[in-house]
Amino acid sequence: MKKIAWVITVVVMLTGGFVLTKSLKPAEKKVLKVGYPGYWNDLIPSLQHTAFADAIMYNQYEALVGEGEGGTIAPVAAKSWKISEDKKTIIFKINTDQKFSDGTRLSAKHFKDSWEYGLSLDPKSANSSLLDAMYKIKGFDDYKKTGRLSGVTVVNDETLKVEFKKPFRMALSYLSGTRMAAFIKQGDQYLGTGPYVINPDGEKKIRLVRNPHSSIQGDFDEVTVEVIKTELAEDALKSGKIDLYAFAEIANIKVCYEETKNLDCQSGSESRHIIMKLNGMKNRFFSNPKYRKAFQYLLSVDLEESYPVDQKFKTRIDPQIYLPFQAGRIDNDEAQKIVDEGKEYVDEFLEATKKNPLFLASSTKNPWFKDWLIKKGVHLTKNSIRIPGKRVYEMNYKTYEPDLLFSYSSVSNGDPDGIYHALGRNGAITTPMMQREGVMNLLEEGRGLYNLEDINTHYKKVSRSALDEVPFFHFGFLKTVVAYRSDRVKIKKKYKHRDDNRFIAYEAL
Amino acid sequence: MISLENWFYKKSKKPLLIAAGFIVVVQCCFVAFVIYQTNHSQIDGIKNVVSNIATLGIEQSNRNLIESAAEAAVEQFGVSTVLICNGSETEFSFPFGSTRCDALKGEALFEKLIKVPPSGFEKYQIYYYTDILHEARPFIWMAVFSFLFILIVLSIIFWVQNSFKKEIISPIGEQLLSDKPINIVELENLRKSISEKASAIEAKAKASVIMNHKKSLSHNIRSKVQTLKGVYTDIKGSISENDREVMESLIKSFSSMTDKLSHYVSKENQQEYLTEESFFEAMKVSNEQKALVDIVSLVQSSLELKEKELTSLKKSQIKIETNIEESNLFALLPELELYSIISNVLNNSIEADCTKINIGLTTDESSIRITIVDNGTGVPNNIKSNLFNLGETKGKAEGTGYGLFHAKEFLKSWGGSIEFIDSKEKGSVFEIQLPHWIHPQIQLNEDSIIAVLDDDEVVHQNWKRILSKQKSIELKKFTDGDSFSKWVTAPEANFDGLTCFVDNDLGEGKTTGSALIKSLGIKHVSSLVTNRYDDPTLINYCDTHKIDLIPKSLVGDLLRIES
Repeated sequence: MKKIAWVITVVVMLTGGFVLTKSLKPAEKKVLKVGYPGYWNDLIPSLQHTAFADAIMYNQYEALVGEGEGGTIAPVAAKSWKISEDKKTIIFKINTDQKFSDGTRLSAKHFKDSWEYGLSLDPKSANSSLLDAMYKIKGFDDYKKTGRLSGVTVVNDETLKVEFKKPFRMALSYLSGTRMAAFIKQGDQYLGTGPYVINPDGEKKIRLVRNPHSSIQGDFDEVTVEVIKTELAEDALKSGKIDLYAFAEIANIKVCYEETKNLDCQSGSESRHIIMKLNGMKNRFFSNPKYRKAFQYLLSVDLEESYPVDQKFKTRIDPQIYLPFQAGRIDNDEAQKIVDEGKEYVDEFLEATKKNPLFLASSTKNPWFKDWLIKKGVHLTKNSIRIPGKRVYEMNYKTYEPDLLFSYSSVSNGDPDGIYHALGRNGAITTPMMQREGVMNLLEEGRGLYNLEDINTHYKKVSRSALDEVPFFHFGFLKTVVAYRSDRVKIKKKYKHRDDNRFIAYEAL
Repeated sequence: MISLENWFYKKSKKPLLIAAGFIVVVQCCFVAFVIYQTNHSQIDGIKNVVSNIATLGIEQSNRNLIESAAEAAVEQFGVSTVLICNGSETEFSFPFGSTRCDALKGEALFEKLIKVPPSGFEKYQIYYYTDILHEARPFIWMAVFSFLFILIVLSIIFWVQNSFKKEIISPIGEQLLSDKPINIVELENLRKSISEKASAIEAKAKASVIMNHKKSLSHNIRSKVQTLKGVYTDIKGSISENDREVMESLIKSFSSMTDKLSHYVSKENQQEYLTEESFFEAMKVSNEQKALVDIVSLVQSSLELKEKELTSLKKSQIKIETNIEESNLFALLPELELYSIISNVLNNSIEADCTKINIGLTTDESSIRITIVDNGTGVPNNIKSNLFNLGETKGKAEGTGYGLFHAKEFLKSWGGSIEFIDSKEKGSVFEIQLPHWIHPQIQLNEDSIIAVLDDDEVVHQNWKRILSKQKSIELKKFTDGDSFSKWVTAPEANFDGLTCFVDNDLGEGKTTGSALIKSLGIKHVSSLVTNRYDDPTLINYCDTHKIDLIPKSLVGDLLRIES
């Protein structure tokens, strides 16, 4: 009994000591180490053209609105908004309690200034990243002359009026992206109102520290982000080099489908299109619509069976640009029927590739599809090899050398207009290689629709047109995945939204 | 009769096990109820809320609604997998790679598959794999925790029971009456207490045997003195006056000694070991019994008695030697206590396996010192410094009940002391120091008149002998109180130069000398001369009434006649 009393006393004393030590000891800085599969390029809101940059900037910059529960639009920098009856004007009430990381209070003028400044920058992609929303704003056509957006009016510090040329159904959605956020430029540095402040930390590495003025505070005091190649991601997690690997859907991390000690994955909705862009520019091989359809058909045959096993589990193989149950999606049979139309041109296509081997560009290591194309009888140029990511971006947006370019693009929420950013005439990440007149016109036309039934019917045309004009071969969708050290990081939710990339979602263990 | 094992089982184990079993059963029922309830509400929520939202999403081609429904199912209703199937085609799934519509997995343990067809869309089926324990898990953990707690508590109780048997009950049976110490403090104290009581009982029995010897001895001496008295009566007429006086004095002295012996034995018989508190109370009472003690006589009586004891104990090899040259040494103190102290010191010497004890008696004007030296094993070095402290006396079985602590306290209260004199010689030396009671000299001159009242003719003869050389001193002889009173109260009585020596015992039924001195108002010229100086009552009376008291044997030595 005496021994037990001693044991209890010792345990109580140790526990008390531990609690006391914990309470007296200054809290250690909590650092989250994050790995990204690729370089994010520019971290300036107006120039955002990569998903990685979007995800990182989401932590520093805040747009007027953001995505809420069930795909609704929720207030962020704007406390409220009012849409006019003609659907052409939105008046936002800005939350002026929000502050930038230097303590400056947010006002309506910051948005106007940020957007106008953003449009003045040389875009890194084919179009300005702001364009898919800005071109709809009244007075946009005069911007080049005046340097001002007359459709954006600062009524007072708290009130921002945005006027569109025509009714714009997706206006709020497009204004929710980080590229539409307000910022202050101080020298080379850009400041935002979000929970963290991004600081460069060597080559391809950044450090995010708390924004003490933000109304939202994450559990981590500091977040470091560095590029970890996809093939090294799993080892980096196991060794503790990183605590979390974002965009893990791109990497092949076994922990996501095998029981592994201290490692776990959070998954959720489909977040990216897996596409092979077909360069249909004038005088290029795929300017011939028959070849595009033949290519689409050729690749769709046995795709399910041939798809690499280690990729398949996180992939939904699907030729359509819209997800099941998304407005605009057509029946699978109908889609297959359109795809099958390319069958009759296959021989001609393959013969043509003999004469003109195709240049395939990809930043993916060991691209399985390259061998698969060869197996299908497609002739590729000898320089169809793995190309550095930066060079791929250049080819995609500026030089357009490849005939085929493998890449991913983000899946937008809900509304079928989400594909506009890739296939729309003024899309933020569109490229002339995959711009098809029919698709672009239909997308443009669809932006003014409000009636649900009309939207569904109209975007089915977009679906058909995309399968018919083949801007890209659509392999399918990748589901969003985050791989993490379950002994160090706690994730509050099991279900991950496709664009929920803020570090405040994580807690230290 | 019941065995200890069965007693424990009946009183402790059985009720505890029943209580624990009851708690476990109640908890299991509660958890089962909670699982049933939560599972019910889980299924209701999935069917009536989640699936309706999903159906609405299908109806409106609103992918966001379907994803929200899936999220709600996962986050709020403990669903692990959501599938929307179109025949064998998987239209929606969460999470990735888990299950496909063309290969639906079976239900795992604590998993339930809920199938909901969205109304109006017959070609679709929605499947939810739910975690049955999702809501109930905290209760299950609570039940598991309390079950473990009960298990630990029971284990501790049973362990305590076993330890109780092993470490308490067994030692009680095996060691309580032995010399082997017990680890449990309280039990060890009990064992010591029982052991001491047992020793005390044994010692008492032994003392009782000795007491019987003492009684027998006392009785024998008394009967011998009676015989002597008878013989003296027979020869009284045929011996000279002087021999007669000597014989009578001797017989009286023997009678006194036998009386004292009887008294001591009687008192000893009543002695109990004293607690500290009762001791001081007894000391207070005892000190009220102070009387003049003839120390020489007392020491001699003690030694004689001790020798008799040694003989009866078959320890006559111990020789007691005395070195007493003094006589008429008096001290004012309780006689019996001093006897007990001397007896105790002697007992210590005897217990120290000595073969020889030497008693010395010396005196000066202020003190009387009794030195007791033995050649025994002596006092161990480790207790020398604490010898007179309480607890070191250890209540000798054959003793009087006084330890050295008590001796020290008594002597201190009388103005005396006891000391252990450390020496390198073998054995021990104790010195008892007593306050010396000395009566001042009685000044007489040639014109003095001495009046002696005593019913004993021998006394008058002695006075005559003492004053035979002082013819000028007038000696008035009175043998009864009446004549003395008449003389003293006569009108012509003159107290100038008068000194009266009044015996206390003036015959049976007669007024005592002390009462006479008081009633006649002559205490300023009188001394009570008595052999009853050892009577505390008389001592107190004289003390109260300021009457001078002189032992008879002393009075001759006190007279100082100035010419």
